[in-house]
Amino acid sequence: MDSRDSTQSMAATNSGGDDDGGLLSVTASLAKEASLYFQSRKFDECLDLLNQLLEKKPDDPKVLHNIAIAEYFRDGCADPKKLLESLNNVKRRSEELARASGEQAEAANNLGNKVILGAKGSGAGHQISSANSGSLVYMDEFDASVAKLNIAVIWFHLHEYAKALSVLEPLYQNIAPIDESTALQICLLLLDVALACHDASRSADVLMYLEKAFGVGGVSQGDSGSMVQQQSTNLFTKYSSVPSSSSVADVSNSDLAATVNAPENPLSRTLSEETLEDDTVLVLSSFEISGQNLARPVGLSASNELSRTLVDRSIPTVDLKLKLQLYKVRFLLLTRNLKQAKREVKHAMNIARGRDSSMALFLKSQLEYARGNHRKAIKLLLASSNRAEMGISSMFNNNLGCIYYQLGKYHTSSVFFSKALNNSASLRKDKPLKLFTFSQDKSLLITYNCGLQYLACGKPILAARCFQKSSLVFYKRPLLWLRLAECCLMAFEKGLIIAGRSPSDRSEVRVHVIGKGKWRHLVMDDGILKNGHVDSVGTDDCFLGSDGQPNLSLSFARQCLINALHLLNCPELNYPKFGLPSNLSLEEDESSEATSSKNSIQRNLTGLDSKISVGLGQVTSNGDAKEQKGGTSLETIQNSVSYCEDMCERENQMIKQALLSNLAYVELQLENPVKALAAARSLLELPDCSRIYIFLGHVYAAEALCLLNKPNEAAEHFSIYLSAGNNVDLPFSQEDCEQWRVEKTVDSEELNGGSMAAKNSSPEDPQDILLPNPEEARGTLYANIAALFAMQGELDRAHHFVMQALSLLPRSTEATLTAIYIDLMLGKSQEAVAKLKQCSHVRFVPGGFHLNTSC
Amino acid sequence: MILLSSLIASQILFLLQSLTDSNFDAVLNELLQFVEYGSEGSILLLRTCLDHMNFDKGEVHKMQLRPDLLAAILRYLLDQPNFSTVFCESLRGIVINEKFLGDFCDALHLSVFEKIALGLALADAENLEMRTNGQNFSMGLIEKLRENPASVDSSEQIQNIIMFLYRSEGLAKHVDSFMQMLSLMDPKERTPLILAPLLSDSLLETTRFPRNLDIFYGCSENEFDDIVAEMESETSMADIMRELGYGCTVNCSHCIEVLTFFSPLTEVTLSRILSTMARTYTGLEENQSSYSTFCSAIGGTATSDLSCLSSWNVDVLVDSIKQLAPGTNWIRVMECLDHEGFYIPNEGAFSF
Repeated sequence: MDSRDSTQSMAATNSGGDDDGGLLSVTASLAKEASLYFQSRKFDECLDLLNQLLEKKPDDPKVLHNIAIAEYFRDGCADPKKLLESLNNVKRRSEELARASGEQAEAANNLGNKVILGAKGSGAGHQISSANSGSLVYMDEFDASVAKLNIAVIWFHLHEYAKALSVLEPLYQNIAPIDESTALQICLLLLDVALACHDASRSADVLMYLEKAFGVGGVSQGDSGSMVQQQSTNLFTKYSSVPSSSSVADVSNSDLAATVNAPENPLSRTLSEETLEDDTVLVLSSFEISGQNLARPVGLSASNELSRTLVDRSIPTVDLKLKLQLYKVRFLLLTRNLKQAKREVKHAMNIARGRDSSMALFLKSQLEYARGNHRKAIKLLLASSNRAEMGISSMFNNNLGCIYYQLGKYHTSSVFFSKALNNSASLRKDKPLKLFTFSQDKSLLITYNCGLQYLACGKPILAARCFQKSSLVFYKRPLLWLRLAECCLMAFEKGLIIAGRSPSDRSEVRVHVIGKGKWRHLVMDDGILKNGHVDSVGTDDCFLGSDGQPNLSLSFARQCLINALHLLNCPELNYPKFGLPSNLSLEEDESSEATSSKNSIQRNLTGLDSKISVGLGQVTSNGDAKEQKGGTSLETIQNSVSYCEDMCERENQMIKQALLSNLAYVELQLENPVKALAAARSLLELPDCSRIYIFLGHVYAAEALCLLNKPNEAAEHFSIYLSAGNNVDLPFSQEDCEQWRVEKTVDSEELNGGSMAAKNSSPEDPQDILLPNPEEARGTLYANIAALFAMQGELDRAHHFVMQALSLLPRSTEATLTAIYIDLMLGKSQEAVAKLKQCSHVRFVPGGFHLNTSC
Repeated sequence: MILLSSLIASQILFLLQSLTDSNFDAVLNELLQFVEYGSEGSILLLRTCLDHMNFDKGEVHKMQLRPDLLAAILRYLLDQPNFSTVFCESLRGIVINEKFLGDFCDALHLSVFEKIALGLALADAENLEMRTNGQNFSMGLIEKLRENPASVDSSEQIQNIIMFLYRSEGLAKHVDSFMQMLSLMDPKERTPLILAPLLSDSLLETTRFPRNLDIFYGCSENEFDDIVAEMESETSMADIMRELGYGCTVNCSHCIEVLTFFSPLTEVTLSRILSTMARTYTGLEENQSSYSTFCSAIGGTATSDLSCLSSWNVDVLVDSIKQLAPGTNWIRVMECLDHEGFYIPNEGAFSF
């Protein structure tokens, strides 16, 4: 917490409003000294003085407050719980006091009024009453507000945004009477929290307020204005609207020098404390963005200096301006108003000229990242960082990892993610752990990114571990649960886990490789081993740690999907409005597999892995176009919010489609067609469902119906794709894929290079994520319809369709098996045998098979 | 298929009829074998059992089948993921009322949660009447549960119940009380992760779901180390080189630099690299910049010029490997080439 040196130059005297003049000067000087000690980090001395002060004024909440903070610093910022407790005590205490004095004041007021009525000196009476009411306000609002602010700061650092918000929100609602610099701190912190929660509308609200109150042009006025006000209030003690001055009124102006300090001291103290917290807050929150967004960190140093200067009572206009500008950029990035963000970031760079502009550079890099100009983003990132600082370098690496991930270079990105984790691990190794360090630690968020990267690399079990770890933060995000389910599905696809109970009806032969060198043998696996135990190859690998964490299984996948759907459907639970940081802009790789196979009826297993990048895309550019016209910044902000809300809505719809189709698939695999049918039907009922998912919904529903012995209803699902008798339409077109994938259409000038790279990895790469191919889907449809006809006994038509299917999907096992079945039924055993020979579907079960005697 | 199923049914029937006190376990075991045949087997089993005990007559008392056998079978099926399908399908064509369901469960001595599971399974049925019956049945049970809490062991069950409560209109108000009940149960254990999103925050706090404040105090022991270690061990040099492109082997010093980023060069790693190179001997589309940006990003020396490379420079690679790991056993490397995904596209690649 280097920010300690940033305490104000203001003298901190610690006199309350109820002091009399003589005591005041003593306490004032004590407090002044204490504050000096505090600034020079001599916390022991400072505490001595404060304790002396406490003797003079027992139970004074301000003194207690300062003691709590000084102790906290003395102990190396390592015990936030204790600080929280004492701050809560202070808060309670000062609220009690406020209540008491409020009653007192009222009584006095009444009394005073009577007196005034009785006597004629109305001026004096007025003064008293106003002063009294002023002190009420003061006690009530100001004092507790500082303690509350500090509480919020602590929660913020602990990543407990919901709690921080619950403290800040009432303060913000009633911000008018709070003194200006505290109010500024409150606003900034609230803005940080809102941005951290990705709460666009709230951040817009605060941002607009800030613009109004402290904004560009308003800054100098606000700044000097407050000075003026304070002076004026000292002179005109009646002026009770400025709370800090009201206590002065009590002291009745006798000692001007002392009183000037008096009102300000608690404030300055807390302010200093606050800001030193707050600058970490800033830093922090800028990290925040990057952490979740898979984006880049915003310059630490910049904000450090910024806030340090901010601390100096006279907030340099330019710095505040820059800060606000950067906030604005962050907000625009959050709402993905990229055009506007570009303009604003340019502006920010201009302001930052000649200063440390790394934060602006970070944001700019993030902007380019969001626009899909990944190479440019890397360059900016490289230019911006000072990598010496651990927290920064962690974010720096994380962001690089994200960019490489976006470039489709998953393995390279893993290098960066692991570096990032390493960095933050070394951060955490400092003992004792400091609050600031903790708040800088984004390991959990990085872990989530690692999980995504593993998923992309086709390592579902490792990915699931990462996701599980990060669930501490993200457990309220539907996406996390979708990802976990995808891990299960991928593991299932790779044969790492088995379906429900019966691998015996798999259409493939599982083969294990046993032994080494020339002793190597192939072992065929007949599914059911002796004594009814289902072969459990690979389950050992799936144990995810000891402490009761669930294994990967299809049942687990189902639970995850249900959770995710639940979160999506109950928005009040889900968008943890203020609960948890969200990372909507994470790219998604959906792996939604299509139908499975079943004894007599062969269905095609279409491994549809679609790569979705939610958001951005054409939509963005359209949105931008509109917003460009929106002239004033306020309008822009409002537009961005509504636009952002639309986008979130769309994203949720997409997630829902993926969830439901995955759920239908999982239920089919678990041989639970009743539920599969329900899921498929709700998928088909979704408004604006992508044609790809409609296709999947129909196929799943048809299969479920077949399993429920209702082939006729199943046929209805296929009939919409049947045109002119025996032909099948393309269930969806390439455009649908494109649309779903929402390619990052880079919005004008610069390169398309970024998005290219993702597409062109070599086709034989097994880890590649394939787009569902319309032709393949059509083949699947043919095969399914063939199977359906075969089941209904219409062998000729079945034959026709299966031939079509095989011409489209010559390598499909399911189609081949259907063909064989039909051949057999038609009595063409020779052809069936020939086909069987071609179809040697063998899966080598990777590792983990231990030879036991029963083999 | 029809043939087979009737065969199985008669076999089940035979087993049921042969049931005596002495062969209970054996029969049960054999019956449960049918479950291994997937949902069809399960449905057949349950259906035959139910038929056998004259289930559809609606009289519990005259059940010929021993209730403990049926209860055992039901319990086993309940643990299967496809219970709702099995149960609904077995009851297809039969409509049972709530009261009978209750009697039935009582006769089988099912626990409260097993009863609820039964009811919930019915709530998925296609038949509307069954569905309402199932819903009402579970609802009644859940309400009763509030008065005398019982313990649930399966998080899946809890999830199902909560989902049911949320889903059915007018039941959402029960959610809170159910949560209350949950919070009373076994406070020793951590809330399973899967339930975390369903529970309220305050409940989570009381049920020891780790919060940030705890993490703050608890994170001294470094739980991320294993992840990092794992990531490092999982890092696949070969894949990275493929992603970075031909730039890696532009000259010796660079190749060494790249290779040294990644811990010891084992024979396995080398063979992977070789096979990757063979596979991507040509045709790796690459913009040269990606390698140099990678270098500068990772803190190495940035390369200035990279002429357009169209293939790996094997000599450079071999030289670098010789320098870095002089003791490499090349025979072993060749042996390791035998791995999944080894593929040589053409002659040019092979001769390299």
